Amino acid sequence: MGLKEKLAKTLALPKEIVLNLPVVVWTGRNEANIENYKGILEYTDTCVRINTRAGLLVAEGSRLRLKQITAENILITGEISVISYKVVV
Amino acid sequence: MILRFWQFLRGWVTVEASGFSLERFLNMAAYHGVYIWDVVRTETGVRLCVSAKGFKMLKDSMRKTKSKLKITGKHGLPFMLFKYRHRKILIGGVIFFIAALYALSSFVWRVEVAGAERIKTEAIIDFCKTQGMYTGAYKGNFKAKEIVAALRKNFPDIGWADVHIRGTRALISLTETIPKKPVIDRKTPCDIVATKDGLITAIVTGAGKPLVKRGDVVKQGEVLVSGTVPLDVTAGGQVPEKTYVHAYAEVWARRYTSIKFSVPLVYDEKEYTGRKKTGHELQLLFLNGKTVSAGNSSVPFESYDKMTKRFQPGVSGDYPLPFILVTHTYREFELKQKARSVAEAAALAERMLTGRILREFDFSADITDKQVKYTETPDELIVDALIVTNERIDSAVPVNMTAPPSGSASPVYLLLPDNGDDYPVE
Repeated sequence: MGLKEKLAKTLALPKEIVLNLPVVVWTGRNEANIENYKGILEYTDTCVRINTRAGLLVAEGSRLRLKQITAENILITGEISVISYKVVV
Repeated sequence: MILRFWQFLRGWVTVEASGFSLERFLNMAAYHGVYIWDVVRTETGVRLCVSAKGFKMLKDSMRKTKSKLKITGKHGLPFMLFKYRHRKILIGGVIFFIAALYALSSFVWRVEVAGAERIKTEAIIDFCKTQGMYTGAYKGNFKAKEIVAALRKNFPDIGWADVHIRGTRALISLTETIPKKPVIDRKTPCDIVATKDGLITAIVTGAGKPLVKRGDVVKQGEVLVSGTVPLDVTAGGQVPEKTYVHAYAEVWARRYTSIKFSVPLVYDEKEYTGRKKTGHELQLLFLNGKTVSAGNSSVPFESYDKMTKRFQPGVSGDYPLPFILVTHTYREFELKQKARSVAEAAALAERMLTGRILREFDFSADITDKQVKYTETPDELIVDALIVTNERIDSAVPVNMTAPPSGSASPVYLLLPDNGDDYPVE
C-alpha cells in the first residue's frame, strides 16, 4: 500500500482525487462518462480503448461516438454493451 | 441549452480528420485544452466539431500527427455575420431594431392604480403626472420611492402605497385608511342652529340652554339651543356670570316642500336606424398621444351616438406597447315625435317624483305625507306635489363670544341685569 493510498484511507479522502483513478459513470445503456483518463488509444465505431491509471479501459458496443472530449473527461454515447479493464501485459 | 447558445455565439466548425494516428491527434487536442464534441467514426477518419477558436489551436496537433483536416461546415453567429457583412441595410436594421427596443422599453407606457376606492384614480394619475410619472415618461426621470413619499404626503387617506415599475408598466398599489369619523370638538363652545325652516316637533337637548320648544316655528339660521349658559350669580361673588358649553341637541321639525315639474305629452325619442360606422384610430404615445386615423374618419350621419373603445396591446402584461388602438362606433338615430297618454304620463310622473324625493331628501327624513295634484293641459301634465317631512334641522356652529347673542328675547337677558355693555369674555 502506497503512502497516498494510506493517506486517502485514513483521512477518508476521495480516491479518484488523491490517486487520480478513473471514475466511470454509466448512465443507462447509452451514455458513459469517463473522468481522469490518460489518453485515447483507439477509437472505432465498436470499440473505444482508453488508457487510465487503473489500467486499460475498454468500452465496446456499436455506433459509439465521443460526445465530448476535454482534458478531464470523455463522454461516450451509443449502444454500449461492455465496459471492462484489460490487463496490460 | 446554454452551452449550445454559447457555441452559437462563438461559432463552430465541423471537421473531417483523416490520417494514421487520429487517437493521438484527439489526445493532443484535449491536452491543449481544445473542447471537441460529437466525434463520429467515418470510413476515412473521424468527423468532429470544434469551436472556431479551437480550430486554430488544432493546427499544431495536426502537423505533429501528420493528419489532414478538412472543414465541412461553418456554423454560428460569427460566420453568419461574415456572410452578411456586405448587406448594410440588414445590419442597420438589426442595430436599429435593438436600439429602438431598448429605447422604447425605457419609458413608462401605462400607469395603473390598484386599490383606490374613495380616492379617485384620475386624481392619483394626475398627481403622479406632476411628479414626473406619466404615460411616456422616461423611467430615469423619476424615482418610485419619491413618488410614494409624495403620494402619501398629498393624499392623507393613503395608508400604504407602493409604486412598482415592471417592464413598461407602472403600477401604483395603495391601501386607503379607514375613514375618520367626524370628531366632535367638545372644547369649542357651540350653538345649535337651524339648518332649515320648520315647525319643531321634537327637541332633545343634551347640553346647552334650549331657546325654542315644541310647536315653535323657526327660520333657517335661528339659534335653537344656546351654548351660552347663565349661572346663578346669587350663590356668591366668585362665580362667573355665565359659562360656555358645546351645545348638543337633536331637533326634529316638520317641513313642507313643494315639488313642481311637468311631463310633456309629446316627446322626442331616439330610434336607431341600424346603420353603423366604425372608425379606427391609432394613438401613438411616443408622439405625445398624437392620433393617426385609418381610412375616412368623417361620419356620414346627421345625428348619432358615439361609442369609443380603447385597447392597449402588450407583451406578457408587463410590457404595454406605446400605442393605443381606439375604435369609434357611430350608431345613427332619428328623432321621432311620439305621444303618450295621460295615464302613461301620470305613471312616469309618479316615478320621477319618487326619484326626486330619494335624491332631494336626507336618508333620515321621514315622509309623513305626500299630496300630489295633477293638472292636465293640451300638451303637458303639470305635477304639483307637497311633501311633508319630519327631519333633523340641528347643526353645531361655534359661539361668537365677543358679540352679544342675537335675538334680544334670549332668556339669558332675563336672568342677568342688562348693563348696556358687551358681555365680558372669560
